[in-house]
Amino acid sequence: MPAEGVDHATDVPTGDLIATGLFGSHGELLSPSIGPSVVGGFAGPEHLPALFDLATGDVDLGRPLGGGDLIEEPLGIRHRHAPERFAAFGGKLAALGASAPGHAFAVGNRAVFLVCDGDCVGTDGSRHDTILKLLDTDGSVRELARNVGVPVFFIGSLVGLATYENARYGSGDSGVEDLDADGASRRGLPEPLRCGR
Amino acid sequence: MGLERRLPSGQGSDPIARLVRAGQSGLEAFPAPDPRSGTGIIIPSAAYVSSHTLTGGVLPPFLDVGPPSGGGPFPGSVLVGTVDSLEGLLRIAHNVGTDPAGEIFDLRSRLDGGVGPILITSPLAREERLVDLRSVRAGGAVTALEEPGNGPGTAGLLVYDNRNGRIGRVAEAAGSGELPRRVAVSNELAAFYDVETDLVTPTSRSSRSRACRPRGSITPRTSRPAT
Repeated sequence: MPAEGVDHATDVPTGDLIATGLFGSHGELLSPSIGPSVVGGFAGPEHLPALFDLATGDVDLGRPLGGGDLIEEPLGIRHRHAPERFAAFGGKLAALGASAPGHAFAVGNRAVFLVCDGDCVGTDGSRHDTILKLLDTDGSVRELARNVGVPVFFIGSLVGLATYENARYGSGDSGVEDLDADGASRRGLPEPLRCGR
Repeated sequence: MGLERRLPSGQGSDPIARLVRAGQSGLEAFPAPDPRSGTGIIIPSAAYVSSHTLTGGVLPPFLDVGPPSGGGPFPGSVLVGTVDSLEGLLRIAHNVGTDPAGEIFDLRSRLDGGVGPILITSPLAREERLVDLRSVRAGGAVTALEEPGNGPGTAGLLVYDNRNGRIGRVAEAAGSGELPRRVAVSNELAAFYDVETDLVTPTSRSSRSRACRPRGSITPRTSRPAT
């Protein structure tokens, strides 16, 4: 087969690129968050999560989630075009085993997040329950399960979970505690991934 | 397409591969008297194509299907993918599933003696840049890949849109890491930042649709018949 030529890519003119004025990272070096006509980044010297609207050039606080209309804010998740659907986290956010910044995974306008039942750590140092919650496309929020592990991905209908020892997560610097008292902390060794509906 | 001089140097397991586009416009998908005759082979999606070693092992390269192209009588879909070896197999399924309506070609009448080979005329093959497979980011119709740059620690950014078959290139960025940029794409936009520069100044940039559909078109040239 004869070669037809070399390098047919077309240079994108620099002028066609829109500078958002945002930092791309807050140190995580992960891919940017994007949504319909919005790009996520970090604003100012404090690197606050922010989003840039490509249509208007406006910058707003929050982080685009999941390619839909959801924006993660410090206290919950709002719908860009339906503010009345604000979904409060309803508790202190627990750490995710995330490969993306933020505190929720989303696909379209569905999202999952992990919150603690009250404070994450009690006054006696004990860990409180962690609650896996689902924000559905109609704006409703419901509890999926307690202490099932840590979400590591979400594909819209399935949540991938990492579990540790007795399926609880989060104690000490490693986030793993020796709940079965076998003397092994399993630091940094996640258990097999489980998926549940 | 003679690939000997087109392949990346280095170990076979390294993540650098050559991006190529290839297709043909000489094969009629359903030769007459089939009532479906008159068109080339249109591949609906990447689900119809797979890449294999000579012994049948499945390879997971970047492989996508673009729109029909070519100057022959029956323009067929263009395949876009990466190559990093001299020989391999590319399988194009005539159907995915069991619905007869899903058939995209039937070339049995073109076989010589019921076996083959089939002479393919009006081929096309286009060589693109080397790309780093670790950088692949896909967002539906749009895929972004970083290309090793002209100097150490530099990489350009290619954005391919399978809806129009075009590839846009964003100028190189420099960095001490292997992939100087972080990229995200969707069907509507591409967004990226430069890792090292971003530590001191905002570098987040985006292009809505134009990066995915860069200005200028790719005009297929008439290809020579295979001999």
